[in-house]
Amino acid sequence: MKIKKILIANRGEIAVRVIKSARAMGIKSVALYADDDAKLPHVWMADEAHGLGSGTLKETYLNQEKILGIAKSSGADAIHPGYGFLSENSGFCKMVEAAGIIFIGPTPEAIVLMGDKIGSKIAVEKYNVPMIPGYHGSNQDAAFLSAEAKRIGFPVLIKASAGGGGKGMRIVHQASEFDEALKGAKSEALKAFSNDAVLLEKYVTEPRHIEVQVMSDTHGQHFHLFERECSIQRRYQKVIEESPAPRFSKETQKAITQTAVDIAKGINYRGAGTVEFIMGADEKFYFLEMNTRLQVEHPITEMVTGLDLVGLQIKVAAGEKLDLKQSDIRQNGHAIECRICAEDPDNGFLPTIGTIHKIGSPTLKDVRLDCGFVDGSVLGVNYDSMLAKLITWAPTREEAITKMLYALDDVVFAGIKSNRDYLRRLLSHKDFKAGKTHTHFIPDHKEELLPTKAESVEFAPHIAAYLLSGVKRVSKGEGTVASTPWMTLNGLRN
Amino acid sequence: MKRSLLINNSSVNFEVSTLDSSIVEFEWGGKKMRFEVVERSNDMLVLRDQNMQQYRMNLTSLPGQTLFVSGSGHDAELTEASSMTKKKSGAMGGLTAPMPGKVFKVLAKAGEVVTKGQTLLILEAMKMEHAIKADKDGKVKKILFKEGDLVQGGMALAELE
Repeated sequence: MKIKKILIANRGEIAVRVIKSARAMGIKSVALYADDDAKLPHVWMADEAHGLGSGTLKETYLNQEKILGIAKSSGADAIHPGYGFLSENSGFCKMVEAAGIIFIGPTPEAIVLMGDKIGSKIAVEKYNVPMIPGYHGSNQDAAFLSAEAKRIGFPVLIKASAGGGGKGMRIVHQASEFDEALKGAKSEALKAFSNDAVLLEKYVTEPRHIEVQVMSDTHGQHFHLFERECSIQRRYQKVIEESPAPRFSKETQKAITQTAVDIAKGINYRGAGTVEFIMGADEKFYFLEMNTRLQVEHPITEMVTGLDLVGLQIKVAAGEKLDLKQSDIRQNGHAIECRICAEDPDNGFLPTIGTIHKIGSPTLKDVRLDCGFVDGSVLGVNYDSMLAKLITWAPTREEAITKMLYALDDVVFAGIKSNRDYLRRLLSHKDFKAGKTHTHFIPDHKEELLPTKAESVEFAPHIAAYLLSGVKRVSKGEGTVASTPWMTLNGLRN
Repeated sequence: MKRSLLINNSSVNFEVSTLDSSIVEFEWGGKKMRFEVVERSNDMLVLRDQNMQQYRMNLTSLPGQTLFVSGSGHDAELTEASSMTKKKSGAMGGLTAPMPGKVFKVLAKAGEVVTKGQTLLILEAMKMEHAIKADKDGKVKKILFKEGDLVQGGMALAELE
């Protein structure tokens, strides 16, 4: 069936991303927006846009009935959920399909199966997938779990089975700490997911987060698009991602990508998915979970393979047989993504808000900026703090890093404190440059990632710019913004 | 002329010897700094130092007489050191934004006589409301923002006298 019109049940950069692929395929797009997003580019870039009103997320971007109603009335024949929001909501997926509309994503069964951390592990075990030693059963008795932790051997990780984002998670280094950690994890899990079931796992030291992109069509073809390393994380949130993974043997790459394909094949997966693994320093890897959606960091895979992942998703959803051969999918060069966020690393990573006065554009070749804002966009506190994703590609990792440092300088977010300088410090760190990446990189190098002191000569140009702008002469308004700094400088000239 | 600025809330002191529309010279930390203006547009400024190194700086005026300068690998908020003393006293009096948010309601106006504990304005942040209360009896000198304004954490919101 041909898809002619796609409703995008999302906002910001990912909505823009889907619109672009749809447009390239001659497909019309329908955007949605909550009142406070009415001026964002995903709204005016689409062929059609509908308001969701105001209120909580439940009333807007998570309002399944309202969204489905708009899809029907606008005549959309497919819905793309983006990531987050309703992307892994099997109930929504079922509802959409029951209404005769295509859900651009996996089957509701695959979402349910992979959404359950215990169930997914049991399900993939039969495909010879390496599992981390642990307990994933339903017995939640404290004494039993404590005995299991001893069997696995410390350090042990307690995780909420319905969880994500680090909630309901504890690392236990010795048996005496176990009971209290279990209590804490359970109460956190109950609050966050209304489910206090936990699982236990062997804790891997210096672990790396390696994930494999898979793409399956409905004609029995299951492909992998190589791996991504997303080890640079802060509080379980990815900060920098790259493909290929550094310090990674060809044998490991072959084994890990084959494992991902085996899982996709085994569960008869449909569309784009990501199989996440944890890997130790010995390059032994274990299955973590499978994300049944497009990932935030999918652009780096697009940069190294030259494929359009959203385009492929749409083709699969339309029932097409993908015109691909595994041996033709190549991993060329190296791509890095930085997540630019509206948070102040020098002030406890608190979210920042305000008007984005100007967004700089990349000037170098093979640099991609995925951004859902434009000059003048107002940043509130109601949504995720991600401002943009900046992606660089180069023949080698070293060149991709160098290019990223320049690109970060180009892509100014004037007026908004962001983590740009922090990203620069991460990329410039000798251990990052050497590819010594692991998920404790940020806490382990905390001291070396501190900001440049204000007394540093590096701020001399800033002082000069301040003096030249004559900002002191800006009249004391009631918190209003002087139109440009040069209004006052012109005064100086006269 | 001796000057004192705050860069990202840390104070720096230096002495300016030349300042016109094309050249600025100042002594800072025992070093002589000299920058000449190479190019400027609406919000962009290119500077050249005495070693012919060039710096592309992006400038944005923010509320509270703050200049946001981005370039040369660093984002920085610059403001007069004197305005920080104001900020600080505000912070002690609790008349500053505890975190970034939106001014939800303004309940007092300039000139109004208020009593200690009276709510002057309400800030909406992280989906919660925070009452900004008078820290002493007195008269409202100024309410620095209006309803709907976005404010950064630590910004002074009102002044009492």
